[in-house]
Amino acid sequence: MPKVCFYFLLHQPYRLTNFAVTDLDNQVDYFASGQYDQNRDVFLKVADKCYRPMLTLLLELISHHPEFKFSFSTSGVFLEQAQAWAPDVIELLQKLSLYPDQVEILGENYYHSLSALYSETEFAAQVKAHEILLKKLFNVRPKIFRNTEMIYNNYIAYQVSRLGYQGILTEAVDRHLEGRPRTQVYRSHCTPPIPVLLKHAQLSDDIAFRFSQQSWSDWPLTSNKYLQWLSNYYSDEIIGLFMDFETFGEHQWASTGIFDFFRYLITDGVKQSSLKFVNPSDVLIKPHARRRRSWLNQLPIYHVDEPISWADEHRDLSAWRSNDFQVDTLQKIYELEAAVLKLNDLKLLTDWRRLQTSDHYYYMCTKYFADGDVHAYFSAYDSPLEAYRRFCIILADLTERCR
Amino acid sequence: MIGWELPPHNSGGLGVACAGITQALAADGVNIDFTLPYSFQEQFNHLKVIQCYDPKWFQSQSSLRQPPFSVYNPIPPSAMTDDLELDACQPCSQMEKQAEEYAQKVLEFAKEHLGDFDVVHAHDWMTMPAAIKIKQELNKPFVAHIHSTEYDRSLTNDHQNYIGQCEISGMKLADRVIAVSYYTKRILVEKYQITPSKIDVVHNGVVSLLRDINDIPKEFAYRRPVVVFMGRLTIQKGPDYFLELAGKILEKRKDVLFIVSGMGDMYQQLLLTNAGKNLSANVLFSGFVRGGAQLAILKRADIFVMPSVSEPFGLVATEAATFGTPVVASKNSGVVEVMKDSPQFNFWDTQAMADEILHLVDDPDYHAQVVKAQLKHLKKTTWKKAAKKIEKIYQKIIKKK
Repeated sequence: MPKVCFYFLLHQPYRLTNFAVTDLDNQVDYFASGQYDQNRDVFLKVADKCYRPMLTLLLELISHHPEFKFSFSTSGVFLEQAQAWAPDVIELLQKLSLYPDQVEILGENYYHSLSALYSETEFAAQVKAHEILLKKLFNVRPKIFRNTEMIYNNYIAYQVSRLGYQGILTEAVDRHLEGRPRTQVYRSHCTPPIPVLLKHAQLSDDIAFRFSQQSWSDWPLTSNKYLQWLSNYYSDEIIGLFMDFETFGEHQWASTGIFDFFRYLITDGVKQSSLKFVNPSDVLIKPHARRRRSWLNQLPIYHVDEPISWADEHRDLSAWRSNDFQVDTLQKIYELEAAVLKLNDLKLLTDWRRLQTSDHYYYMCTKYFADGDVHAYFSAYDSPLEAYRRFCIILADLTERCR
Repeated sequence: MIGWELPPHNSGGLGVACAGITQALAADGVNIDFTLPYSFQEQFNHLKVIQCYDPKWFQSQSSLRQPPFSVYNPIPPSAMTDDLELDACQPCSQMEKQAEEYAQKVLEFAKEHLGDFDVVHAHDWMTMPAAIKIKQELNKPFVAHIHSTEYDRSLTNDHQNYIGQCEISGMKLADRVIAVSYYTKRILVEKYQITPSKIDVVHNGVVSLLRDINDIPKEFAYRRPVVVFMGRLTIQKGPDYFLELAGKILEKRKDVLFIVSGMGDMYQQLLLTNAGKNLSANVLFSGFVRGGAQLAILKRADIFVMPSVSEPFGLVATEAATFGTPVVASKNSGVVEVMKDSPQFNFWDTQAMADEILHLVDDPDYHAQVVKAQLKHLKKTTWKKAAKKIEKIYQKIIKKK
């Protein structure tokens, strides 16, 4: 009976408007054009297809099955948009948060940014901002951290550890595991160390990406088949099933049967007692509260120099930082930190931070091989060229506001 | 007059020039039938539009028909006749095929109205097949007006293609050739081997766009100098030199904003170069603009740069100048012949252009002096003057006959 740890991410960026050069210095909004707000449209659509039905299903499963557990995190920009346009989604999340033994909320950086790679102070500020919002909405203080897109290296683990977190989630990347299993807890290569829980990419992506792929040899995937696969693992192994929340109803539409799959996976798993659901705190904190230091020190080290992520074939940063569009705009946006902070202008600060959201750089990605399909699906614009073109004009506007 | 485009359906200078020429000629009492290869609803007082087109030309994807891509849009294999040998001098693109078929339609019209016209006036290669047919079958006097050549666009001296052949046979058969500048005359002589004495230079006129502004477009980018490039993003227009000079200026002054306005086959390459040179926050791409947005950009420009590798005239530079914007132009252009005191440079000398732009930015007196000189010269550059010259050419060839 292996341990299964579900983790879901809820996130929506603020996509950019078609800001024209003639809008420069004219106090034009970057994210909504007049009455029309494409972000609101997208949010409401996804709320209907995914957030409402899936959260309702989770609430039902949580209240009927005390054995069932899952963890999630949200970006701060997601929570802002939900508060503005779909407060009932917040209410559903709040209802779930009333089951703290079964539902664990993880820490994040508020703007779903790459700040951990560029600025320690900015990263810390965004983590704190997120903690404040979680406290306000759900009255929780997260103990385990998950960074944007599972982006991780030793230095990020160090920053997270210094911010008081007692564990972190990330991707299991073979070149760093060197043959060791992805189903055990590791410790970060930093001082003081924190425990690291890894994602099981294959089993996660079987649901998140392959579920409706008819060319896949295991299609159609049934809950029984999947339970069978899970049962191949030993009882001391932890299977990290980490995925976008939008998998349910958005990436995989309701018509694919994804909701029924998930329902039967949980109810049958509980009925057959074939799985033990755990949350990150259950394996990274609770059993080792007493002799934590010696427990930590005997854990194997997950040593990661170059940043990894949960995206694309190479599980690296290439989705956000592999071409000159991305490198230059990221550098330019973080160069503004001192100037933005000095001006003490809340609107400017918020705009600057929203422009840090990783999606903007993802849309600029020009990798045209296997990953290109995924990128095209997730892009708000016609092409990476348009993503870059728009971003530049807004960047010039913001830069001028900093002067 | 055999045309290819007229505003508001224009993609570049040709339509604007044809409108200017015909208005000025009509004011002098010249009667003009103006053929166009598409359906045209607008009514004009100064000319009669003759629609010579085949509806099937417009059934394919419309976006691909937009210049400059339409020239490169190959004929679908299904439309090729089987016995047609592969020959570069035959029509190879949809636009070339359209020009060939347009010729037949225009000839039919000319045959029906044989007694109604004295002169055929054709503009650029697209209209040459029609003019050639009329000359050969009806033997009417024919003026070939060259606004732009394939040499300007491709920068190669190879005329072994359909467009090159249209240009050469058109100019050879024409009674007179009009070039829009001495710069273009030199190309016609040296690259096309046309007899110099057969070519008259008639500079375009300049019409201030200020009159088009009913509501003054909103200002923008108030607090920093704005330097503008406007034109197709093709090798001919030299947008890559614009990025290079921008980089050089930004080394010395960080607040200058550059706007690249237009679209073309170099777009992607230019964006990548821009990011690679770390210019993302300073060099912005507006995309293709027209109407109010175009005017707003021209009006806002503190300096207009035209670093063309080869520019027969450069109407957009004169339009910019009418807004009181100093134009920094390539020596390989026609405009420097009319705006004689404008700063002019070799298109590749980006350091000299950068220094000049910085001088204009930093020295308001010098800026004002350049603007004043430009406006003085532009006042004398009118379509009326151009029309007078054209009328003389008409009279000469009618008499000769």
